[in-house]
Amino acid sequence: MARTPPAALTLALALAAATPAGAALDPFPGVEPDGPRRPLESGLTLDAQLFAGYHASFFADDQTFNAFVLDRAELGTAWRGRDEVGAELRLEAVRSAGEGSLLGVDGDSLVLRVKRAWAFWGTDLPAGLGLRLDGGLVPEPLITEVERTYALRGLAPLLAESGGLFDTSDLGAVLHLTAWDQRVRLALSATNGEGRNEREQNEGKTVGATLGLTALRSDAGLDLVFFGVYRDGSVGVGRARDDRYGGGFALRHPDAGAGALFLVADGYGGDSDRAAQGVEAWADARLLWDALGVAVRYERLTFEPGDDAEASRQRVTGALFGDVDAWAAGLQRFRVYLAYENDGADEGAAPFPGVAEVADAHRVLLRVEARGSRTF
Amino acid sequence: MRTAFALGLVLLTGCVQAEDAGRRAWLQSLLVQDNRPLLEREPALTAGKFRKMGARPYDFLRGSLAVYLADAARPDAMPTRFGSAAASRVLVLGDPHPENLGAFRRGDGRMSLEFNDFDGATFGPYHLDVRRLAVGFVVAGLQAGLDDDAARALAGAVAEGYVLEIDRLGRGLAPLRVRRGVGFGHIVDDLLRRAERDGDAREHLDDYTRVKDGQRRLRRGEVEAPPMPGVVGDALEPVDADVRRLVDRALAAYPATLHAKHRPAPRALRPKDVARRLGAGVASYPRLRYYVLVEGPTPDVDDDVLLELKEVADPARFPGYALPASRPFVDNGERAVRCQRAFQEVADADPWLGWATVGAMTFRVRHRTRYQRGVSLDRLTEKVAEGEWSAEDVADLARVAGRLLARGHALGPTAEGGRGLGAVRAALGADGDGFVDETVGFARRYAERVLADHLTFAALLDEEGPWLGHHPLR
Repeated sequence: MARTPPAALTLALALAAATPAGAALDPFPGVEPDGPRRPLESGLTLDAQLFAGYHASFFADDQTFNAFVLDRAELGTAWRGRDEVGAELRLEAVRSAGEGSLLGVDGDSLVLRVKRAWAFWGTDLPAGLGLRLDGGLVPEPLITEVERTYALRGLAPLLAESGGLFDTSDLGAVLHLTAWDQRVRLALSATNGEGRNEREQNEGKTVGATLGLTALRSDAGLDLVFFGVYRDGSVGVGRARDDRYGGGFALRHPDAGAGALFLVADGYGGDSDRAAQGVEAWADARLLWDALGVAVRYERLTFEPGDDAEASRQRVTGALFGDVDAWAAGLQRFRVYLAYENDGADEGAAPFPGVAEVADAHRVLLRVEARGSRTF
Repeated sequence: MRTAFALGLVLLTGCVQAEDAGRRAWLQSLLVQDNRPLLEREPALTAGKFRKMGARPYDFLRGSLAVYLADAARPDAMPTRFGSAAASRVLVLGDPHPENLGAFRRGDGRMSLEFNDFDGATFGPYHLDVRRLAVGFVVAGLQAGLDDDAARALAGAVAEGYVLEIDRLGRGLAPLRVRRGVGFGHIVDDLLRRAERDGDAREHLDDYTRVKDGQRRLRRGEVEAPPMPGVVGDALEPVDADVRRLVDRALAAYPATLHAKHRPAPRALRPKDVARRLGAGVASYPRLRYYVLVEGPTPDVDDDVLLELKEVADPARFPGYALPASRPFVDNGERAVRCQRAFQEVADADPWLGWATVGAMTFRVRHRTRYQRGVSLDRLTEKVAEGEWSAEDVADLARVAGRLLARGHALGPTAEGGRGLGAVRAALGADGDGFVDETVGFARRYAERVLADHLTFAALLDEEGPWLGHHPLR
């Protein structure tokens, strides 16, 4: 695929934004602003994503570790019919043994599992409103909403996802309502609440509402988006409280972006009495055409906020990235990150309160993000 | 004795109440999650495990390691002043408690006292092992009828013993060797004496086998009556042909894992009979245990050997903690056996110790003999009630246990391969007394937590049913 100058890309996106679209929310938003877009038209699309690389880690006490890693390997197929119906089946590779476990498939082999398996039906309503109903192992609306403007998924998942605040997908249904040319997006969800790793454990269902508001959409391709989320959840056999609320914003331009998200967990880790707060912020910008960019991330997860025993873990990441699409014809993104990460923790933080240095780590990452799709 | 125990509980906690709704829900979910594979595979036995845990606080402690480790990761878990990154990667038992101490008859014929359960052994922080052992002694002391102060003092004895042994090893003195009659206390002497006597008498073979028409075979049926409804006391159950094949395959893999000095001739391992053993343990009560009678050195029935194949699963994890190289062992059988050999005074404390892996199943193989008699809380309770053993005798045992734990941490390998002594010694620094005080403070507080959680757990069993509200798929 030929490298696209930013100006041309900006123009193309601006034209795309101006193109009349159905009011019903695009079920395959193509996570990330310039990421792959799965079937915009009717048809069957196959896509693949691969995040892989090399990590060199430096821990307290002069311990080091380095490894080639596979952070994501996904295969997806999505079908979209002409009458706003469709479905997606998405597989992901995971290690077969849990963290620290010796019980896996032939050691700790990578195995494929279902990440998402869902179908949708959508329709346009009068007055520019849109409606879509999803059912199955559905994507978490908040993750989907934020990742529309989060361009760094290849570098790191959102804290909302990695910090145990939300799961990537869950069994249930989501009703999407849109208005104002999809600038207002409301998702009402009802799911088991156990995530994709577990079947339902209790009688309670987890219900939530996620709001996305594109407050500004300029001709130059600049979007200003606000997010808000509320969830009333339960988890585990004991039906522990698992509520969430929070909000954030993102500025997105094809050449740059920034955002922040603040989330509160009332009930955390299967414990109704535990609370947590997650704060994350990110920014990225292309410096030299498409060839070179810079990105920074910060995330902080605080447990028992406000208590004497408050404890936090944080991660700071800085990265240079290069989009080298020209070398990988046919891919929608081929990005290389060279990043530095620093993990730290308060004295009272897990895993061993009082031994904060256990959580200290410096890490250098070389990571490749490759995405591609084809519609038939 | 029940009255004395109840009195002890009240003295210790002032007024132990069942915990609040949040803690209750968390306990329920965590214990179901921790036992999920067993609840699906062995629902009746797992219900029996829960009944055992509900019967007395000490058994609840034994069956709830995952609760302890999850609590230890909380910000309010009384942070340690004696930790370091290096001291968080030493060889740990994972689940030390008084009933995990037992006698061994080593390959050279000498009797010694050692820890005997390595199902939870892994690399981790030494201080959580010490705290767990201290809490175990406090709860056991209360249950044995000691008064509040005496029971609490046991935590101090554990920590003092620990600091003493680390200090001795740091000064280059010989590692601890626990023998009979050399000042380790009445309880240790009693245990080693009875183990040697009953082992010499081959009592274990008498209990579990019968000789008929010149052939020794395993008994079938009840060996010990159920201690309570729905719980097997001690029994041997017939196995089908599939299990027999599984055991044959395991025995074929096992000889290569034996200590190099103790590899018997192949005929010595010829299986003569196989049965499933039920009733042992608390945490591992539903796990697979097979008793296998093998030929032994000669065709004579008098030297037949009884082996136990015990299923070993993953150790309980330290929430949020992962070693960079997360799989230092190939499987759990190898893990448990290599950790045991490294932790004990000599690698051949049990000359028949080995492991076997068949497909996804891993077993620790060990000798079943009265030589390996373990510390029994029932006997402790009985002897304290009879006035034969005093609080100081129990403290002697706690001190020895602390020293044994220290020896294992210090001389066992770290995750990087060196010995743990330097890391633990540096973490303790010159403030051994401070470590003792910290451990005692934690043990007193967490023992109260265990007692309260036990009440909550018993109420959960009443209200949610034998599977704590979980619904097995079949």
